[in-house]
Amino acid sequence: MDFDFWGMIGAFPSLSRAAFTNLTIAIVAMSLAMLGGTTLTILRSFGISIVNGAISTLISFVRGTPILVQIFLFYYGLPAIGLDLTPIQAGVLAIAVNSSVFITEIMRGGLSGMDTGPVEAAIALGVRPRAIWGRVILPQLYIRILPPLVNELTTVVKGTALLSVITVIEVLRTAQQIANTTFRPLEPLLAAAVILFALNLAISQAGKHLETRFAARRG
Amino acid sequence: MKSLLKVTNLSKSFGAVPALRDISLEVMAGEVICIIGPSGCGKSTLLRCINHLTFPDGGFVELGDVYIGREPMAGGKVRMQSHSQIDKLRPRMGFVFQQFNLWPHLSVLENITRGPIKVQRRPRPEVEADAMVLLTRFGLADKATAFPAALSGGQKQRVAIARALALEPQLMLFDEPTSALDPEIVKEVLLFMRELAESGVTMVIVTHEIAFARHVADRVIFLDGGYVAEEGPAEELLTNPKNPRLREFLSQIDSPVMGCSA
Repeated sequence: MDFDFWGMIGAFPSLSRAAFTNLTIAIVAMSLAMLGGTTLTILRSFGISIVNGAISTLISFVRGTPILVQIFLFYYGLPAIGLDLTPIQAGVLAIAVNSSVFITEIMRGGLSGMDTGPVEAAIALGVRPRAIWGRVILPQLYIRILPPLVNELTTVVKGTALLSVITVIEVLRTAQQIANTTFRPLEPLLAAAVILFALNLAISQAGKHLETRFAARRG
Repeated sequence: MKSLLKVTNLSKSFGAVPALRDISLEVMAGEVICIIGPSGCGKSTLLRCINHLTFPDGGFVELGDVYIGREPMAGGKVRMQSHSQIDKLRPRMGFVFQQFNLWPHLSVLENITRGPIKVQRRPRPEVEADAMVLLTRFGLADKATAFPAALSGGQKQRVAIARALALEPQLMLFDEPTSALDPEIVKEVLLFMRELAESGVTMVIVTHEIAFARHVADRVIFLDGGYVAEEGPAEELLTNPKNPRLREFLSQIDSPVMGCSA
């Protein structure tokens, strides 16, 4: 087989530099998504039918369309309504909105299996509703849903490679640029895959570590 | 003796099903009251209506000289207090649950200190020192940093009682505090509650432990079908019940069934 091993190794330095962009985008998007997912979850708990209707429409749209399409919609759609964003900003927003939806669904599942007793105990002690969310429900919920959250973070990391289609210079686009100059696509693409895989491996290991650490705090 | 809790004409229905009908009772400061009765008679609902975990449909609850929830106004009108007003009154009553309901993500010490710090806004060092005194008194000082999942049922219930006491309530409400415990642990918790009663804490206890009620309660209230069917001094009511339903209830509870004593 005609495979240039050293050509693949040679791609690593510039790809690793580009991977910082992926990591940064993933961290920012995931933080926004945690915030978004939590907000949607709390909003849904009020049971206001108009709000819940809007949220379930958003959920079915995001779940029912490819994330690639959503990225294009943010990239071409937001400037059309007067919001001038850089490709990175548009991409981060697209991934964050997409992931918010999946996180709020994960949270819904976690909540449905949660014991309401500790919440009643907080009410009985006179803890105010806001503190009940912040101090009783959310901490327990995050501990419960840690495994699917880590899974979602790896999905977000993989999603950052899709931003190559809207000109973000990240690891996949860098690999394509190398391929364009060397006329050998396989080596840099494989190197890009190795780098993204290594990132996600580190994330899932860290997730396992956190799970063990919080095991005692699970009910 | 001074009246501490006064419940007047309390009623509550779940849909078309009445759970409490026209309940009136009074608890004096320092008194220990046991509420007994068959399942579904409204015991837990009564307790939950007192601290408004469940909102009553009618009647009034007074603690000391303040109304909780529904307030009578001039001209026979009733004003409903806001949720935040009720939240402010709730810490005056400690509530102990059958299922303990500790916060699993917090340590034993944090379970106890969270209320005084977040609800009463007392300074952390002082609250933590007080909590350690409580834990030492309850024989749990070595469990301060443990999480609830690592405790036995009896230890969990003692922590739950300590959590309620930490807010220095005027009244403690117990909702079947030993019903979720293993038989050999029931005694441990009951002895502990007896000590608490002897230290002068005012307690209203929903229980199936008739022997405990006989020894610890000043008065016993027998609820049946949402009514107060009989009430009186513990020894008298449990030894010579007048109400035929109470006689039947006591004989069922005391008699061994299928070789196991209930």
